[in-house]
Amino acid sequence: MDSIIEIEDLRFCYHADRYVLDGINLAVAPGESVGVIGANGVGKSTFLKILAGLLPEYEGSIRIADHLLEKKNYGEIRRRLGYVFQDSDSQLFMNTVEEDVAFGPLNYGFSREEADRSVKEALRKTHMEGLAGRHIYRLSGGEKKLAAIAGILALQQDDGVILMDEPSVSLDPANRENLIEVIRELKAAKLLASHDLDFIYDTCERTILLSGGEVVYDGDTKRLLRDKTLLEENGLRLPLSFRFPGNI
Amino acid sequence: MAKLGRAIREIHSLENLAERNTFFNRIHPTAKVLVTIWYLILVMSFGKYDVTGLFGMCLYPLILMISGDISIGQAVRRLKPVLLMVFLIGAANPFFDRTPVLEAGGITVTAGMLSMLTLFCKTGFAVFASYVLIATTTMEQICYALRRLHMPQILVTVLLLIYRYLVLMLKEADRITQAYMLRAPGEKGVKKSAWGPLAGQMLLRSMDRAQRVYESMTMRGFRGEFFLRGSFIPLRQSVLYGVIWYLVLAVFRLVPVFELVGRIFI
Amino acid sequence: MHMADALVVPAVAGTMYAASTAAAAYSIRKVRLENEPKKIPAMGVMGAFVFAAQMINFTIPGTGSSGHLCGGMLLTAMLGPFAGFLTMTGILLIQCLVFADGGLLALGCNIWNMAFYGCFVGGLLIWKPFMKRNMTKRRITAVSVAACVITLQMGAFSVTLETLASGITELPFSVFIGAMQPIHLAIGLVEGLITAAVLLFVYEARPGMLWAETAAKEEGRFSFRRTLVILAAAAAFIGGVVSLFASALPDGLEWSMERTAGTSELAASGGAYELAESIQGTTAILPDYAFSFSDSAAGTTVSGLVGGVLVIALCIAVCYGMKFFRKGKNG
Repeated sequence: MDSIIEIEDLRFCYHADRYVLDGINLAVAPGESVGVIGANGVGKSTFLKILAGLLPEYEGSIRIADHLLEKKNYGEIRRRLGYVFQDSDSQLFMNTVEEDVAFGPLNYGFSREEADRSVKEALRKTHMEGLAGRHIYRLSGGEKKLAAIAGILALQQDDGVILMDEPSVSLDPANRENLIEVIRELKAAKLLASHDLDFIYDTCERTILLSGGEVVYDGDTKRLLRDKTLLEENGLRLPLSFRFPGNI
Repeated sequence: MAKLGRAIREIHSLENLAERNTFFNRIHPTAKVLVTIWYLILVMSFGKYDVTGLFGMCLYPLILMISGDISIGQAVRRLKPVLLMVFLIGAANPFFDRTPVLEAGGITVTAGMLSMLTLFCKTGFAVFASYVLIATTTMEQICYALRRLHMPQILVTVLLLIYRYLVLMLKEADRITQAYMLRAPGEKGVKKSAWGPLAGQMLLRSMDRAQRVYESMTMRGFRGEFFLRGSFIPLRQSVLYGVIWYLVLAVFRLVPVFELVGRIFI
Repeated sequence: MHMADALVVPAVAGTMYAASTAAAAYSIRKVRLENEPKKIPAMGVMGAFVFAAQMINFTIPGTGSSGHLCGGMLLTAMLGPFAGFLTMTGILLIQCLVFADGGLLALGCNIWNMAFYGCFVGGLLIWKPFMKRNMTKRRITAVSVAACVITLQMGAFSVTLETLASGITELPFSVFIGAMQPIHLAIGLVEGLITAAVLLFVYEARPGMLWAETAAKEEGRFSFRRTLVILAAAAAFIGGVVSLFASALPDGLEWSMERTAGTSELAASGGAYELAESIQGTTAILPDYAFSFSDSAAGTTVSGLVGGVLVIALCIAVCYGMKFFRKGKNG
């Protein structure tokens, strides 16, 4: 298998005749980390939600881990594909970290021991071992984000897919750095939608730029983030780390 | 609105208590729930003039509060929400029922006084016993126990979710009202023109959140059931704990223990 | 309106638990039939919302006081009566456990007095028929206020009945009811208006969100009639049990009613003592229990007190002793 995600001519509209996404083609290899950038309202979140099967009325073809993305395959696909919501509080609906991380495995019929093992492993991968019994609402924003990621990792092996919607929003520098580290260590394929370009630079080697419902750039992150004209044409600005020549 | 802040603090303090690792905290929640219910039934079944019999029932919350390091002051403070109504209802008794029962040192004790006293005692005992339960058992453990006692899945799930989002909503309501008060100095509450928008905005946001929660659940294979993990609690001790309290409380209900002990000395 | 445990005897508590359980079982079946998995998180989140929103003070124009919104009505309008009822049940259970607002044993009563009337009567019998054909702003306001007032009146009446049937108060029926109903009339009006304001806002922002439009199509008349039958059966059941109690207990409901029956001159007398006296005077016969206190009554109490103090002191000593011993062992 070459790609874990294969998208051909994806089109999507909320209201008839106004396509938010209009002919997207993309292939993502296992373990690859791809940034999805674009101005506000360009359809980044919509794009990820479609991949997660949350917006089933799309046109075109999407294959994830060799399964066509359609209702009968949701169970199988979601076993390997996780979605990190922008609002962690909506994602973490159980009362403690442990309970929440175990939610997926228990739903998928893991035995208690298997579930415990996968919870422990997921918490280790997200640097959250010490917070297993903590109540969700007592976590900081960064910890919540990590707990949400742990909830996804508990369900999948290293060959999974993780979709993240604005993962770096409202994190303080330390939490942000920790999150970058965690994301870099993950072996799953990742799609990160964000307009935090510095964050994308730190986590993704490849980036696609969405504009007008299409992919207007697909390639090396560094090259894209240096292209002032292309970014500004599409409603973005140079990331801070690229503003001063000689910085990188 | 200080009420919101107080509610948040109350939840935090209860959780700190319930998450401790004392003997009572480790007892299986099902045993604790059943003993609490048994206790409440027995206490409320005392006749309204049976002061001495009822008096014996104070031992259960007392023993648990002392040995479980639960503040009696906090327990008394929790009487507040029900106090007014019970007081109004109970305080009427001495006025309406003035049958003399006994005289001691020139003071006539009437039946109404006794029934008022039992009513107040019952109120206190019930509040204390519930406090002992929630101060040694987390909400998740209680939900686990309720599930074991065959409370329907959907109700337990809703309970868990309400509790999960409670602090979040309390904080949001607190923020909203604070923001309102900052721009409306001197007002005690939300004025009429803002009734709808203020609470309505929050309601719409909550409904949006509910939608996201649903999506997040389906992403992780939700099929209508929440699995609670409660297996870490030792069972044998708990059964013993439950049985002993069942018997002790039953003895105190059926036999006037205090009176018998008193007769030895008098 | 939250009843404490002390206000009910186990038999009344059990009866009300049975009634509330029946309503809950019916609601669960209905919610399952609706088969909308989306509703479950909505119930949880909306439950938490109502819980918090009920703590916000809304100023009542022209007065210095404030009111709150009515949870049962709001939940019904958002989620429908059945999901609303289950959500209210969850709220009441948490209120009782976490905030000691209402008792665990009296929970059955509280669910009935607030959730059942609020959602079944307010939602099914008032909101639904009026919203079925079309929903207008005026209707929403009128129905919210009417439903809040009516359901709160029913709730207050039930509180009175349950307390009197438990026989823990000597308060005559007329006095009790005379205090409960007018207070809750005022509360109902205010709660209705606040709830209406919130529902109107939702109606303008997202009209499709309010319950009734879609629900009315799905549910035929059959289920409506059946609900009525169930309501009537429940009412008869409760009524039967309550009157059973009233006749079985020497100072139960009937006794209070009997007292109340001949107390037309009540209003004229001043002061609580006089009031009480005049009521007692009209009944003339002392209740049985007065004679159950024989000469030994004093002795019983004294030896009981002595024994009690001794046993309690011993228990406290043992508890502290054990704690001391344990600490010594650990330290």
